[in-house]
Amino acid sequence: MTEIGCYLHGLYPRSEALVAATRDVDRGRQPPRVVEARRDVDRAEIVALQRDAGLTLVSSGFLSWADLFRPLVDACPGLATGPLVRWFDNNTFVRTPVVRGPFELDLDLFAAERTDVGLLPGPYTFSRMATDAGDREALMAALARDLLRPAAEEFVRRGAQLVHLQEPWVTAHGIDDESWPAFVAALRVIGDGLSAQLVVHTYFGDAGPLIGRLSQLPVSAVGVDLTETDLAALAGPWQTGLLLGCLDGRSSPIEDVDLTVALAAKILEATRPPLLLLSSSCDLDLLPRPLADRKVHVLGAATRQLREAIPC
Amino acid sequence: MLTPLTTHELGSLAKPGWRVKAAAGRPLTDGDVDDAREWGERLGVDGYERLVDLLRGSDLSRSERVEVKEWSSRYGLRLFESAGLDVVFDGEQQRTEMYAWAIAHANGFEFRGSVRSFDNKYYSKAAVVGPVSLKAPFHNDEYKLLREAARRPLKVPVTGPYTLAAWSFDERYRGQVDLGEPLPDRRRRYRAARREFVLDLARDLVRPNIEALLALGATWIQIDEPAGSTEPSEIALMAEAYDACVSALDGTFSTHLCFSDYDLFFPTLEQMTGCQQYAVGFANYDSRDLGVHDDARPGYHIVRRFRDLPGRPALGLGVLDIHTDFTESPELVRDRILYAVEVFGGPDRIQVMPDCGLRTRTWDVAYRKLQNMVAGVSLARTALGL
Repeated sequence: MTEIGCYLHGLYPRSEALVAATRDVDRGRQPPRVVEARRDVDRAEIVALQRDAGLTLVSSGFLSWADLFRPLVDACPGLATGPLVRWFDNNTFVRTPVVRGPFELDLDLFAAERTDVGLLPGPYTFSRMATDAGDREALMAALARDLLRPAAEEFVRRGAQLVHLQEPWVTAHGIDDESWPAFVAALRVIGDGLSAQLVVHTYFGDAGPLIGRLSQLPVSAVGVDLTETDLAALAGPWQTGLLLGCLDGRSSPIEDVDLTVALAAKILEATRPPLLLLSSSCDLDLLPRPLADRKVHVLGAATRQLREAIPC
Repeated sequence: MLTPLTTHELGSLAKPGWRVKAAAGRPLTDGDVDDAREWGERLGVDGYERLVDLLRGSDLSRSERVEVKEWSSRYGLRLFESAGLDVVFDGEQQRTEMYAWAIAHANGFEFRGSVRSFDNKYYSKAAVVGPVSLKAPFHNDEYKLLREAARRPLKVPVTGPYTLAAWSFDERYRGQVDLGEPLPDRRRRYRAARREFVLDLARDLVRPNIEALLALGATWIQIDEPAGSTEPSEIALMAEAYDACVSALDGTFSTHLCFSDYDLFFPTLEQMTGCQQYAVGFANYDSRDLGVHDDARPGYHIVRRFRDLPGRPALGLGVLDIHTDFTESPELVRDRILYAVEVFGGPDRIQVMPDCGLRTRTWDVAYRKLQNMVAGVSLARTALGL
C-alpha cells in the first residue's frame, strides 16, 4: 500500500507587490512595516492557494528568507555571510556561509515560520557550500548536530509535520564513496526521534547513479528531480518513501495534469514505495509568482487524480 | 584604448530618485531637487540649472520627462569622468536594466514576471515565444547623446546573447518536454534548442545592434556575459555566440564576466579569439588585507589563467566589491593591481575597473569607491615607476 500526498518545498516566489514593497523599504522610501504587512498578505494568499489546490501539507512559503542558508547564518554566531556565489546552474546567487566558530542556534533569532513543512539545507550541501578550512565530514557532523537538528526541532515545536532537507549538491556535483557514511550519519542525527517526517530532496542533477543508495537512506522519503533523472533509473521496489520532483521549477510552461498523472503512475507501478509524494523539481522561487501559482494547481489536481486512478 | 592600467567603468549606476520619479510620473520632493542641484555642482555638470528648473515645475510633459532622463545620463557620465576614470559611459541611465532593455527592443519575447536574482534583488524575466529579431537599434539614441556630452572616450556595454538566453524562459525552441523520454534524448534536444536560441540572438539581435553602434562611430563595445558560466557545458556556446556577434567587424571588442567560478571558463575561452579584453570581477572573492603575496590576495589567484590565453588579451581587473559599502582604500586597490601586474609580468595587459556595475550602491558610495580606485591606480603607477 502506498500513501500518496503532495506539498510545496523550498522558497516560494514573492508577489510583484511584495517585491515592490521590499524595494521601496530597501531604498528608504517606505518604513519596514510596509513589507511586513505585504508579506502577511502574500503568506495568506499562498496558504489559501495550497488549501484550494488540495495539497496534503501547507507551506508558509518562507517569504522572509533571503536564501536557504541565511536564517541559520543570522541565528548562529559561529557563522557569517560570505561572498555571493552562483546557486548551481541558475541565475540566482546566495551568500556563502563562512564558518567562524562553534555552532549554536539562537532560537530567538531563527526565523522558523509556523508551517506544516519545515525547510532546511541538507547537511551535505551545507558542508560543501560553506567556507571552512577544516575537514568537510567533521563540518557536516557538527552542522547536523549543533545547527540542523535544533532547527528541525524548532520547526516541529512550531507545528511542522515534515522537515524537508534540500540536498542539491549530492546530485549536481556528486558525493564521494568515502563521504557517504558521514552523510548517512548526519541524516540520522537530524531525523532519529524527530516527531515529524524527514525528507531529503536531491535536485539539479541526475539521481540515477545514486538511486541504490538513496533509496536506503534513513529518512521518510527521498526526493528526485525528474527533469534531470531518467525514469528507467527508478526501478523498485523502494523501501523508503519517494518524492517525485515532477513539476519543473525552472521552466515556464505549465505541465499537463494528465501527463503528470501518467508519469507518476508509471513510477508508482515500478517502485511501489510506502509513501509517494508529488512536488516540484526545485524551489518554485525560480519562477514568477503567477506561474508558480498555476503549477500549484497542477500539483493538487495531479495528486487527486493519481489517488483516484491508483487503488492504494 | 587598451593601454596599461587604463581605468574604466563597468555597467550600471543607481538611478537618481528624481530620474526614477520623473520617468514614472510620480511627484518630486524638495529633497529630489536639492539632490539634483548638489550633485550637479559636485560633479560640475554643465547647465545643470536647467534640470533643477525642470524638476521644480509641476506635471512634467512627455518631452520634459525624456529631457530629465537625458540629464540623468549626463550626470552619470560626469560622475565617472570627475572620479577620474579614463574610459566612461553613463551608468546605463537610459536603460531600464541590462536584460529588460534588450528584450523590450526585441521581437519574439513576452515578459512573465519578477524572479529573484539574490537577496531582495529581482529582475523581470521574459519567455521567448516567437522568432527573434531586432525591432530597432536600441542603444543608438543613448550613444548619440553621450557622444556629444563625453569628455573622455566611451565604451558601450551591450548585453550578450548567451546571457539573454540564460535569463529567459524558453517557450519556443525546446517545445513540449516529456519527462518520460530517456534522459540522453531529452538532453540532446535541450542542447540543440539552446544552441539555436543563443545563436539566433547573436545573429539577429545583438550583432545588428552592434553594427548600428559602429556605424555611429562607437569604437569599443563590451559584450556583457554575466551568465557565462551558468551551465559549464555551454561555455563553448557562449564563445561561439560572442564570435558570431563581432566576427569581421572593425572595433575594440571585450567581454565582462562576473560572480562565477572562473576556472570553469578554461580552456574554452581559448576559442574566443575575437575578445581583446576580459573584464572580470575578483574583489568579491578577495580579502581586505594589504599585501601582494598569495595569502593576501585569494581572490586574484585565478588571474594566471587569463594571463596565459592565446592572443594575449588584456585583463580588466575588478578591484571594487560592488555588493558592499566598504570603501576600498587606495592602498588596497594598489596591492590588488600590483599582484596582478606581478602575475602578468608587467602592466601592459592590465586595466582597472569595479567588479561589476555599481547600481546597488548609492552615488555617494559609488563615487567614493571610484575615486579611491583611481587613487589606487596612481599609487600603483608610482610603485611601478610608470
